[in-house]
Amino acid sequence: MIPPPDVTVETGGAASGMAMMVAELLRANLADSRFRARLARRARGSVVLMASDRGLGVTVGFAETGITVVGEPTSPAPTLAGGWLEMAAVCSGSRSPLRALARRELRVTVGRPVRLLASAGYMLKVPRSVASGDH
Amino acid sequence: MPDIYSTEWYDAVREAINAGVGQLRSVPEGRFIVAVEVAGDGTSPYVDEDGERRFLMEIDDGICLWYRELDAGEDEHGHVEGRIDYRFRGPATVFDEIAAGLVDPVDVALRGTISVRGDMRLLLRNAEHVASLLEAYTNAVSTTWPLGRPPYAEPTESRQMAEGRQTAGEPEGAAARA
Repeated sequence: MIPPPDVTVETGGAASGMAMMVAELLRANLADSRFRARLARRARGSVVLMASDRGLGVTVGFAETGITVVGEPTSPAPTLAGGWLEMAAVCSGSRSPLRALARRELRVTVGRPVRLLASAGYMLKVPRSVASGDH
Repeated sequence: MPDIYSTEWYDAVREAINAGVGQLRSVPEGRFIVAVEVAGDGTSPYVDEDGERRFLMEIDDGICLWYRELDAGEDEHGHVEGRIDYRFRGPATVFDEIAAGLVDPVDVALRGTISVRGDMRLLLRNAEHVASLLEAYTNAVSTTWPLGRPPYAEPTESRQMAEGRQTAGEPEGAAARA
C-alpha cells in the first residue's frame, strides 16, 4: 500500500494554531482512507481556508513532495471562507457544505484550479465512520 | 466572587460550563478527558516563573463531571484511566487574560499562542461545544484577582491583537467585550 503524502506545517504565520489543526485533520483523514490519500498524491496547487470571522486563514499546498500547511492566506488561490464554527461543522461532516453555501455561511472564491478546492474539501471532511463515532 | 484558581472558582467554572450545554444545538456524546497546562511566564503573579498549573476535567455527554487542579509533580493518571483526549498548553498571562475576558480563547488557539493537542477530527466536530466551554471560562464567572488583575504591565501579543481588532472596529470576539 502506498503511504499517504507527508503533511508538514511551516512555522510562522498568524494562524499557526489553525495550521496545526488543519494538518492534524489531513494526516488523520489521509491515513484512514486510501482513496483520499491517492487524491492527495495527485493534487497540485494551493487552496486557502479562511476563518473570516477571525480574520485568519491557512494555505494548503499540494505538491509532488507532499502537503504543506502555512498559517496565512496566500493569493491567488481558490478560497473557502466562512465563520470558524461553520468551517469546523462542514469539515467535521456535521453540516452539509451545499447547505452552508446555500445559506451563505460559507463562500467560495473560485480561482484556478477550482477542482482542487473540491478535492481539498473532500480530503478535509471527516469520514462518516469517525463522525458518527463508529470508528 | 471566587478568587482565580481557587476551589470555589473551579466549581463556578464547572457550573457555568454545564449551564451553557443546555444552549447548544447538539451536545457531543461520549466521555473526554481534558488537560490544561498553564505555564509560568514571569509576568502572571498566579504561576511561578519556572512552574506551571495543571488542571484536569472530565466531560461526559457534554457535562463537566469534575474539574480539578493537580499538585506539582502529581501524576495526572492518578485521576484518570486511559489517555488524555485533549491537552491545551500556553503561557499563564494569556490564560489570565482569557479568564479576565481580555482576549478571545478561540483566537489564541487559532493563532497558536495556546497549543491544542488531540484528535482534531473530534475537536472540530465538537467545535461549538469547545467554544461553549471556553466561553464559560471567559465570561460566565465573576472572578476576583487577589494578586492583581490583568492586563499586566506588558501587553501580550494576543492582547495587542485583540486591542488592534477593537480599534479596527471588528465586532467579533473578546475585543468587543473587553
